[in-house]
Amino acid sequence: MLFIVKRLLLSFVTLALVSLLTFAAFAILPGDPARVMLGQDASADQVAALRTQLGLDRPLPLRYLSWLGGFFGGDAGTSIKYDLPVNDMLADYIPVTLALAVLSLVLVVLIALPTALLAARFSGSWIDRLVSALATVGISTPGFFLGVLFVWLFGLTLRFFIAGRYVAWESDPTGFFAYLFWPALAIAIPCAGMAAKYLRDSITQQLESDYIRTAYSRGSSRGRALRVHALKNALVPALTMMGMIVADIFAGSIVIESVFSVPGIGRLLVSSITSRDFPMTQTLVMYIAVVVIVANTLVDVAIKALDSRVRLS
Amino acid sequence: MSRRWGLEAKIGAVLVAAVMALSVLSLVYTPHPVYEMVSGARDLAPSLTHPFGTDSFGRDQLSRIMVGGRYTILVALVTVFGSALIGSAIGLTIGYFSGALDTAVMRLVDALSAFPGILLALIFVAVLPASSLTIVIALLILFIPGFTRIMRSSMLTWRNLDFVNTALVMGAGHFRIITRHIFPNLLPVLLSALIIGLSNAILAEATLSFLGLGIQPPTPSWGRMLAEAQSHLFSAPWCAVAPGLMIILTVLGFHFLGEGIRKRYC
Repeated sequence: MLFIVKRLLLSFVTLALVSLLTFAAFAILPGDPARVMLGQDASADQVAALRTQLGLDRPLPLRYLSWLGGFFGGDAGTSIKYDLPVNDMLADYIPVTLALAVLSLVLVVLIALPTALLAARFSGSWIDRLVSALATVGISTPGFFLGVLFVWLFGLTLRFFIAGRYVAWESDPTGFFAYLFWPALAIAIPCAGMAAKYLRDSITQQLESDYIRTAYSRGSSRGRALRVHALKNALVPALTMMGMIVADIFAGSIVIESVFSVPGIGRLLVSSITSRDFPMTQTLVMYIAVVVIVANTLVDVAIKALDSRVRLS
Repeated sequence: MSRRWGLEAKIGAVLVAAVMALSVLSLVYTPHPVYEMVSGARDLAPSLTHPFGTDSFGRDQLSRIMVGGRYTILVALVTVFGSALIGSAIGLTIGYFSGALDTAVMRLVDALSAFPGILLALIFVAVLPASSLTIVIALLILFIPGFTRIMRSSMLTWRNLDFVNTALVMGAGHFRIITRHIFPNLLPVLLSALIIGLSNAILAEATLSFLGLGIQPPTPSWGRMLAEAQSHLFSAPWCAVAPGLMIILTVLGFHFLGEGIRKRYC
């Protein structure tokens, strides 16, 4: 219990710092944000009006508190580009990105777990080396290149899906997941490479420990020792990696959504950066950071639940 | 720690040397003028005159890849060495003196690590004016926390060893102890982190340029070339494959080299 309280406190401190950093990055702009947003042609009156609208004429600490209050209170301001409340827009965009992220995570596990087990089962053999080489190539491949390749090969050439034609969940739930499968795979492959490598190392390390030797001496086969004994213990350190993978998946979706024209927060973020829509950008950055912090907290709590020896360093 | 260079270090060194050579060669020679657009040579498939084909403007892909590599590697070198310098200075100092400052800085580093890497760079791209200097600043800041963490934790393992205390007793100053006695021992760790950092920097620069937020046209960059290839993917898929493969080979090269150095010395 004390562990959870301590861990939550730590997350809270990180969250506070992250919000402060996000706010500071947009507040300490070189020059006037209103001027940057409107461009050089805008009149002084227009700039003054936008300054009032954004609340830029108030002192910094007050602006920070009202922004933070707005973020958690459900009023994150108005998008400059779309002239709509940021939160109303996000209600449409967030579920799409979450679906994409969950699908990617499932694919990461489906790819990484069997390959890691295979490599560990035959550690030191050519299979192990092949898996390791493939994993390294996977890590080195940018997701957006995979995305472009998929669009060309599976979309334009083999016609497994229609490139650029996103299927909404409301109109066709099966089609929605069938379309999201490709961007999710493009996001998942680099992450799966990393996960497979880590999990394989973690399993082979377990295989060298005393309790595995005991299992062998009691007549357990290598496969059984691996599945029944080593895997359970190897999963605990591998879980630590899950937090990192979640962060990578969100980073990946920022880029991949643009490749596949998926209307999620990643694509929205890029377009709001390009059009200098600061209220929107600031809120999206905070959202993504919050998701990553929450994921890391959950992972740590889960690890503690699985292995009570874990202590906060 | 092993006494010989492994296979991956050798493959890495060859890949890195090849990409470097191609980029440096572009300073004096490219098969075709980089910015030349030939209206009769649009979307040509790879051939002897254009080994990687031409793009929709009739520009030679190989020439653009060579020059693009130069900028990509230059940006990677500047940002990684810059952030290694700043990150090492911070990490060594807080690791050596520890105490409240150490705790405070590490909290900040943790908070910065909560942003998925590319997001942190995107914040700076969002608030700074669009220019090629912006991407350097964004990547510089992106990589500082990593180097700070690595150098701090290495410092902690060397900090309390006997030879450090001996130096202290003999009257050496803190600055001298950090730079002359401890830092040389951390060089292998730093070197391997530097090389792996280069592969991350190349990936990050390619990503930002792909999104149109990195190196600005007409300067060629691999990420940008890939993004431009999307609009005529059906008629000229080689425009996407060539820069994509270059990114993979370069990142793979630095990755292998970095891992090889780590296995050899650390």
